[in-house]
Amino acid sequence: MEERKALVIGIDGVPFTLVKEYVEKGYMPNLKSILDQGFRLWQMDASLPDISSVSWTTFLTGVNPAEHGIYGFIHLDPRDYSLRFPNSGNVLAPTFFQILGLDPGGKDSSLARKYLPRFKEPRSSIVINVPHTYPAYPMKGVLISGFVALDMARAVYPPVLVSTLKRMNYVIDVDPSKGHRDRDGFLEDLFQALDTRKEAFDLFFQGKWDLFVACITETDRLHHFFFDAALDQDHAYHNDFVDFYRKLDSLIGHLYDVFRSRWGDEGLFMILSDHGFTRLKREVNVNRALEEAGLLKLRKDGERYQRMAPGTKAFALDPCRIHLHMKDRYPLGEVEEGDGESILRDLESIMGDLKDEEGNPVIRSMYRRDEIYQGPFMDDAPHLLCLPVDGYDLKGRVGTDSIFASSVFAGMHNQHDAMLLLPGNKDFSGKPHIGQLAGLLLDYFCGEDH
Amino acid sequence: MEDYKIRSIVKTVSWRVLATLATMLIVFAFTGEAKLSIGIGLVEAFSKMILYYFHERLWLRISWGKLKHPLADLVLNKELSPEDKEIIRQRLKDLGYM
Repeated sequence: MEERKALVIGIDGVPFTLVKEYVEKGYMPNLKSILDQGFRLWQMDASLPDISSVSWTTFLTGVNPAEHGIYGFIHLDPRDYSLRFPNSGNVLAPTFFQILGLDPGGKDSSLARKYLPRFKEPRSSIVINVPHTYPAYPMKGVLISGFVALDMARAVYPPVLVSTLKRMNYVIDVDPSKGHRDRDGFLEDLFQALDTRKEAFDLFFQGKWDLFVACITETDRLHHFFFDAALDQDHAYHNDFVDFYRKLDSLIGHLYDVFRSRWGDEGLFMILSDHGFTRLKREVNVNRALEEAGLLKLRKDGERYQRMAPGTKAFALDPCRIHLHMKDRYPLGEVEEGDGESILRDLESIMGDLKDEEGNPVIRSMYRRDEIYQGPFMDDAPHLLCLPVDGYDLKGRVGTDSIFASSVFAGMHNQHDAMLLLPGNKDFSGKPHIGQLAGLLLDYFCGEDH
Repeated sequence: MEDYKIRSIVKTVSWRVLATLATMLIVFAFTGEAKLSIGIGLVEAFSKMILYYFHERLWLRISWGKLKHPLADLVLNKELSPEDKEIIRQRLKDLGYM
């Protein structure tokens, strides 16, 4: 079997435009050197919606949410309106490392059907800190789960490695609540977490593997709390922000050098982020807009979506997944199949006309479910998905007093500004999408990447 | 991993064919009598096939001595406890995802 090796570095929430600017400013010399060696930086589209659980799952499975089953961090149980928190066990398509290991774990997908017959020997993978891989599951290699992981003992496969990671003081995630009460301490934690992450990457790098996926999530945490400091030189935390990126750049350079020194120029090297980031101006409570339009009715008692009352035609889940309140799906649902079209048109009109207090439009684009999703799990898909203009953070809160609100956060995700770094000879017919990368990796491993 | 009953049945038959042929050859080697060899072989084949099948199904219920995957008992999508839900809700809230 021909020896093919790939190193993938994931940097959660790092925007293409910021990286480009930081490279030009000389803040990221290692990345510049890699680009000078024939790599190309692409602006990439993230998943719809552009949140980490959906985007990373789309990256790992190479299929869209209607095929892998993950539409967000939260899922509404249609039986009783309670919230569910999907985890790796709810991902219904195999990941590319399960396909490479020739053990799809009893799962099926269009990608698995295409590639499984092409591999004769299983390849082993080491996958560290990719969000939405908790609990860790059996696979050929090592899997250390990322956010949201509750218990280290269930975040590591094989479990025998748990004690090693504990001895290293490895942390799955920093404590984000600290970002609200002790900003300096939170920054320290982020820097320290990057050191531990490097230590874990180095340790597992020495092992036997064909594919190594190293994911850094501290960038996303930094951005949520400090993104306003990214380009504002007068900001109190600007230097810290840039220092963090210098440290990230140094880690990228280190991993690239180790990879090249071990495998020469033959291996495939890739960096990607799962979504972009931008400065947050206003939070937008979509459910309040639906309430004011008469499409959402709430009772006074109850918690969150259990407050929904008869007469509700539509509601939104984070970030802006609008669902029709269908009669055949929800206990209090009243929307008949034949009425869906006219309510959808109303929703498009309400959301399209939404403007902030200064008259600026809030919504950049809207998609109906049939336009963007295809697969066996369409029933869970939002009927309408809205993407905001940069700066307007769409929220699914229930029972707020106003549509617009200020935020305690400095940054928010965006879908159109994720980043991708690949060898210059890899090409796309248009702007790349995160869902294309699993196929690209599998093509590489079965020698069909020319 | 459990075996389906059909697998046990096919294993029973394949082993019985092999074992009966061996018995018949051994009896023939000791006695030189072909009829006796075949007779013993046929009686043995039917009686032991039935015994083997039940023996196989009985052993499948005994986990002792079996190699077990370390995560074989892990139920991935088990119901979260209220405490687990609260931790997740809080973390999502801390990052503005709720």
